Amino acid sequence: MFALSPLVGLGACVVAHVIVSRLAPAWPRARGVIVSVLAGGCRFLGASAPAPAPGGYVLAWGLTYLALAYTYVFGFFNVSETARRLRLLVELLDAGPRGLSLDAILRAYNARMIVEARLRRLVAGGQLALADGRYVIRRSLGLSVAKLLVGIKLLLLRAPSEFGAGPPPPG
Amino acid sequence: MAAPALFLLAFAAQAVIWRRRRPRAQYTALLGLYLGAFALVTAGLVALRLAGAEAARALPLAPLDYATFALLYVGLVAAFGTTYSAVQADSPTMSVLLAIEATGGRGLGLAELLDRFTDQVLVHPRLDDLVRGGLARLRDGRYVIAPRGVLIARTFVLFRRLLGFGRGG
Repeated sequence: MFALSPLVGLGACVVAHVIVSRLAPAWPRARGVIVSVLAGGCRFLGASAPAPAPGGYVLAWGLTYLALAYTYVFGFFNVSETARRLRLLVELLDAGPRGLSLDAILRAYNARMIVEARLRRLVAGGQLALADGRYVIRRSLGLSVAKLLVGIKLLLLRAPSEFGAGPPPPG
Repeated sequence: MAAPALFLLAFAAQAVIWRRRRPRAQYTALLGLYLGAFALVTAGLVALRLAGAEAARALPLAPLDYATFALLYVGLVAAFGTTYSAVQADSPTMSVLLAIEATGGRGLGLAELLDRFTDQVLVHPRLDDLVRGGLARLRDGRYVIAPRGVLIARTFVLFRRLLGFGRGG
């Protein structure tokens, strides 16, 4: 059962996230996420520490917890927070069976809204600064992640951007 | 060590396949590749155990070893699958950072950013993704959500309600 301790930690992380989000709605989203991942990590340690197994196992379970917590934060919470496809789906869901024309979609959700929301987040998170009406890089963490993603794109798509890679071949 | 090693092998196979011909249904192919590798290795472990092979002693054959191996592998694949969404589709946040960095410290104003990041760049490709992925249909010039899209959208709406948040994007 100790091998399941990463799942116990993940469950605690999600529950903590819901509690923190409800109790402290004014907190920055990133702070709520960090507190939740730490709470899940403590629960994971509590569940795995008594295991009569060598330290290598606890290390593997710890890595598993981190991978699962990363998946929850970036694959689920962050998707709900920033993903354009999901936001478009929610707009279409609200529209019901008649759906929406392209113009109506763009009135509800468009490039200006997307860019302005990201700029707000990047400035609030300290990655960008606004100086004399121009956005400049302030910290390099986000930029380093962006460059890493470009590296993976070059490896897998042979292009630094989805536009350079072109659409997938027709089926 | 077995789980990261298998993950790296599957990633290398993905790089070879994707560079030759990127699959149309990328996530289905991704899942098939990584879970296929897992199933193959599991079958190999069962065969080695049945054969009682000496070389298999270092492999995760005991229940605790196998559970640890399986869960770590699934965790690594899930984490990579999450990251892959930012590989398959350019993230606006990352694109904005790269565009600003490319100015060499001069920076970009909002108007310049909006000139680069238009609806054609940020919205149209994602609508195409929804249609291509069967989450929405384009009917008589109108986008209509498909049953799978309803399921996904409702799941996330419920999740955000649970957190007490409004709609994202």
